[in-house]
Amino acid sequence: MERGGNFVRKKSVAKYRGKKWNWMQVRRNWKLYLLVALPLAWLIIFRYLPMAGVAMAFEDYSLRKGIFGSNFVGLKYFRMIFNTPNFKGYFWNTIVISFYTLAVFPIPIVLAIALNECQFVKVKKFIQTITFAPYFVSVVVLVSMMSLIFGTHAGLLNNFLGMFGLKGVDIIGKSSSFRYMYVLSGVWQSAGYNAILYIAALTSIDPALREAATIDGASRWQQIIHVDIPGIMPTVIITFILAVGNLMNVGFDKAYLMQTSSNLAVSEIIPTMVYKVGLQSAQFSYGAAVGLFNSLINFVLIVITNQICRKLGDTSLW
Amino acid sequence: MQETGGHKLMVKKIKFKKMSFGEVIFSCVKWAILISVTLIILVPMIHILAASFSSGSEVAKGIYLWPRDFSLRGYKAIIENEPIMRSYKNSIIYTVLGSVISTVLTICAAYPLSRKHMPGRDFIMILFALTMLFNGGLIPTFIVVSKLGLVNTMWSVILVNSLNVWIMIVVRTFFQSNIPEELYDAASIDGCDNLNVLWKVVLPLSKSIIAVAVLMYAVSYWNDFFNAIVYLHSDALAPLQVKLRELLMTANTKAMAGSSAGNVENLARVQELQYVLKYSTIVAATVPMLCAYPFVQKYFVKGVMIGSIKG
Repeated sequence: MERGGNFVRKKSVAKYRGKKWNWMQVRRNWKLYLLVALPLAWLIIFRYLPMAGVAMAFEDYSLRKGIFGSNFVGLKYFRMIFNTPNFKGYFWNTIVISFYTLAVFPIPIVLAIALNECQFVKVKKFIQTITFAPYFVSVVVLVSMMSLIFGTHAGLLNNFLGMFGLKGVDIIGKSSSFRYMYVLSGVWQSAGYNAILYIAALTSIDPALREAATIDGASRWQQIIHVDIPGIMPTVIITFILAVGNLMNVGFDKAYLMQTSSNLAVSEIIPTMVYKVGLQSAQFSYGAAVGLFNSLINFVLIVITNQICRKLGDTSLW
Repeated sequence: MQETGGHKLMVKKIKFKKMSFGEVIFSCVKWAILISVTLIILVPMIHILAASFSSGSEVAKGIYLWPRDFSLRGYKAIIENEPIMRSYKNSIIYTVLGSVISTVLTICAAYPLSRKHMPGRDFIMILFALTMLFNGGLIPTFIVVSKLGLVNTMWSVILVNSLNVWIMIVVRTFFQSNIPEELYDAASIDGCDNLNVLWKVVLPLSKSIIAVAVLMYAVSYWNDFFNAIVYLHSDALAPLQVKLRELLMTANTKAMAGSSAGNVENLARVQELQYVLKYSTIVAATVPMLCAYPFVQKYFVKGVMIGSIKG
């Protein structure tokens, strides 16, 4: 991703550097512009137009009057957000789940390192294929699998425990297990997929480094700490920053599907609340305000994390 | 193991006990991780597969990796169930149309952006990249779609997420690193303009990355649940995932199983069918994707590697 600042600098310096940026080139490449016009048009309609729609958050939006016709009300809806009785609860739920999601961030890394240490190529490929498969399972199927496996009535888990004469456990119903199930099912689904990234990074580590370590007498364990991990640090950091940027976008799908009347206290998160209040109850302005609030927090978080990484090392997103 | 024979001998002599003990622990830990991960993923999936081929009465008991009382009853119930088959058809339509449109859009963006001499390329790239960091949110997007008159039509689901900028970047990076400038020069000498080059030179060379893109889009369309419930309100348009959810997670299961079985004799039979139906619909919904996956896995891994490291 190029820095906006660089671009501006480049353009004004172009004349002095004698760069070949001129209208001749534009004319010659008109077909390229034609090509890119199609996705650009899509981008503007479906991505930038809605961005302009955040103006809705500052008005008493009505479908009939449209954006320009509705009354401007300033921060009314933002104030309403903070005055919503359970908002703190929803916010907290979202944050806790995000935090748990970050906490399991290292798991794909561990998996990748373990796979990398596996000497038998066929086994390695086999395990990689297996761990990658859950990525293709849809959320609906995933949540259903969870209820089938952990369900009280004929669940896999309880049958398993039953084989040892242990009493069954009720995992689905209890609200205390919601967060764990949410996050762990996410790990089940995406660990293999995320691990691919790290496996790729691991294979690109110079083998000479490993040989040097072995000659110096490092054990496999020490090799991992001193060669592998520093080698994939840049990849880890970038992925981490991107993950932080997605923090408040805790997935709507899974939380919505996992909600039951008994766990609403912990399972109602901001995206589901936006869906129910903003869309289903057609309180558009309110929903837009919450959405904007969410995006802003995301943006601030990603900028902060990027700055921190910049200060601490030399890898950062920009 | 990169140690040479001589070195191994030397090390063994000096730190014999410590080295081998540590190594043993290491190996154990490593294999413990790998094996448990494999089992955690495999066992539930195999169980569900096995259960889907079983007849109802045995489904409720125990874990098993092989069908008990083999029967195709679950699948028969699916085929006889009209709403489910209709949603299956819908999903296929959305996925095929969506993947094609998405891939075309992606190539239309990635190819020009991969040409270094195109003025304004940086600016356009930033336009695309910005949308990854910041987006309008659910409500404004919904309003835009409804103003376009697309709500409750299949185009809402297909167009709303047509372009995934991440995938576009992966494709662009592929173009940039795998198609040498010389090729472009040679083609232009032969009289190809920009479009011709794309069609005759670039695309044939990029089959692998296009396969990756198509698969990734196909997965996201096939598994999409959120957009469907937001934009599609009529039952006739519902895709498989939405129907699945009705079937698997609400109390409507009995009604659905009943409607397909015609005359239901006793409650127990319906209940059994309920269970098997759940398992077989899960399998039916996931199998298409899982089937396509092994074919492109090789390209997939490479594609993700390229895109993420360079992107």
